[in-house]
Amino acid sequence: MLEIKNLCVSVEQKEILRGINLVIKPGEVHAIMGPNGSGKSTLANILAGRAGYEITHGEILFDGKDLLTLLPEERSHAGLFLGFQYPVEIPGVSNIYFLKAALNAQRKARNLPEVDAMDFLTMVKDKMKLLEMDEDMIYRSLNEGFSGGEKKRNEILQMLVLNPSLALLDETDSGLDIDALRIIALGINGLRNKDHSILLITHYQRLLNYIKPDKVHVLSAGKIVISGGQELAFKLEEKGYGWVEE
Amino acid sequence: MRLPTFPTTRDENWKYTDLSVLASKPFVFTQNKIITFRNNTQSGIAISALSIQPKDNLDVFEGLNQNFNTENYLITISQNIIEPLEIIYHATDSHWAQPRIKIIVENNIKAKIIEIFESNISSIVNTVIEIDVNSGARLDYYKIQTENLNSFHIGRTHIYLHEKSHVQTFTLSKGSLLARSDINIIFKGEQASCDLYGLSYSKSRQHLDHHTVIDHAVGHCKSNEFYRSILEDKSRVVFNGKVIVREGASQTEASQANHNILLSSDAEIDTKPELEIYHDDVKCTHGATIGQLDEESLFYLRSRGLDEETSRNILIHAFGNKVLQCISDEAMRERLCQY
Repeated sequence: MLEIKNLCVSVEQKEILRGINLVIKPGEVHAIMGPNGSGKSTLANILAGRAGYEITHGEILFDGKDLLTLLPEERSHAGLFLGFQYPVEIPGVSNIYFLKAALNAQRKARNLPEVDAMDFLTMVKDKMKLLEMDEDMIYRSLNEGFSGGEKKRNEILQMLVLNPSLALLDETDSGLDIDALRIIALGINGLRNKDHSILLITHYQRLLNYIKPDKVHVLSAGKIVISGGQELAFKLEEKGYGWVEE
Repeated sequence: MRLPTFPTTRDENWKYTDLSVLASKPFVFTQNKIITFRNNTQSGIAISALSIQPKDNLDVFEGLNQNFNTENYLITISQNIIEPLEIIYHATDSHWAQPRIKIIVENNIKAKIIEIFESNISSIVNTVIEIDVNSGARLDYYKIQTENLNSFHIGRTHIYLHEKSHVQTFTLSKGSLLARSDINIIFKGEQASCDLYGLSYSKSRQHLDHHTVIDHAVGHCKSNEFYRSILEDKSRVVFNGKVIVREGASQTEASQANHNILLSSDAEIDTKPELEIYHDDVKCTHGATIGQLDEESLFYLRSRGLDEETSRNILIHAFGNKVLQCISDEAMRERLCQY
């Protein structure tokens, strides 16, 4: 599904990622952990196609395609989704209009007809129920005035509606209380099956109590310094990142 | 006909608008009537000829309109009207058209008026409309300016607000090569209020100038002003919002906001709030912003599969929508979306 080979990335001549290698197979859930400034968000942004980074070396294959040559929207059409660490507020665009436009853009790229308005509304409302979101949130402007937790739920709602084959979730758990965390995890687990893969980017082990990863990687100073199973996350929680860096 | 002396950019009131291209056009008045009405047969609407009372000390355009008037109407609205009265200005030649309209909205009457300016050729319109909103009356006034992109538009709207009256104005500017829209509000009676909204969309080499003057001549009145513009290519937009609070105009409240986005580095916006306050007991606020489309928002939309052009259009539309959402009349809001 996703293959990252020796990826090196700089921002303004400063090397942020220094030779990342990572393979995610269909159906797998991976977690990337690491201290602040280790390059976690850079990796997520590079995958989604955000501008402002210089790729100095390496390649990324997504379902065999060269991901780095694709525009952000083409990556989305190919089945990639980035859950933003800081979702953007867009006043004047209603949540439901945006969701429908996004889904139809994806369908168009796959030569599918536009979604039926009633079916769409029913589908969205079902998913909102799962995420314990108030129905009126879909008629509000996109993320405008949403609390931190509401924004993160809205990201997961978008993910469930767009049904991507690979979801990158950048600190989706940050700033959530324990109830919100449980609900978000429920949403993420809703995507999980043998065809869908998930890459969780997080500081903390606690999200992994709800979403059991197949693999855990620790990123430090732009490199994956150690990989393992969930036990690695427990060890990090206990000993801190200093232990890995030694 | 001798060419009049037009103001230059050294004149403070025309600082950002160069009239030399208009001055180079043949100075000939049209023989045609350009106004037609819609929804004018509702009961409570009376339309007749206007006898123009000559005034001195007019500026050049209003003077020309008075002295070489090409068409005029007096409209009295004496009952609440349901469908908006539509006044359509459609020039069919390239000569100067100088229509003048006076409207009287009688006491406690609710009225809606739409002025629509359109043309398929390079037209020149220099128009004056005066509206008396009498005590307790409420007027919704819309001005939709969509003339051919080689046209010239000088439009002046005077609104006199009497006691406890209210006006909501909405100006949509997107036509003409050079357009100047003035709205002048004078509070004649206390406890009156006005909301002035405006949205402009300019492209190529268009020049769209908006001047508003709100004269708080008496106390206990409220004014609110909210204009937004979207500029493309080499276009230029002017917003000059003047608020005067006269001596003795106690408990005046005035707010003004002007937000602009430039979609091209060659576009230019000149925004200038002007507050003249001669009384202490007042609340006045103003603010202006100039920016570009937010890159972060653009990336967010694209990351969800919307292509760049669609994403830009969504953001541009959303920016304009903020003004449209202020309009209280839902049917009008939807109609304006079509322009």
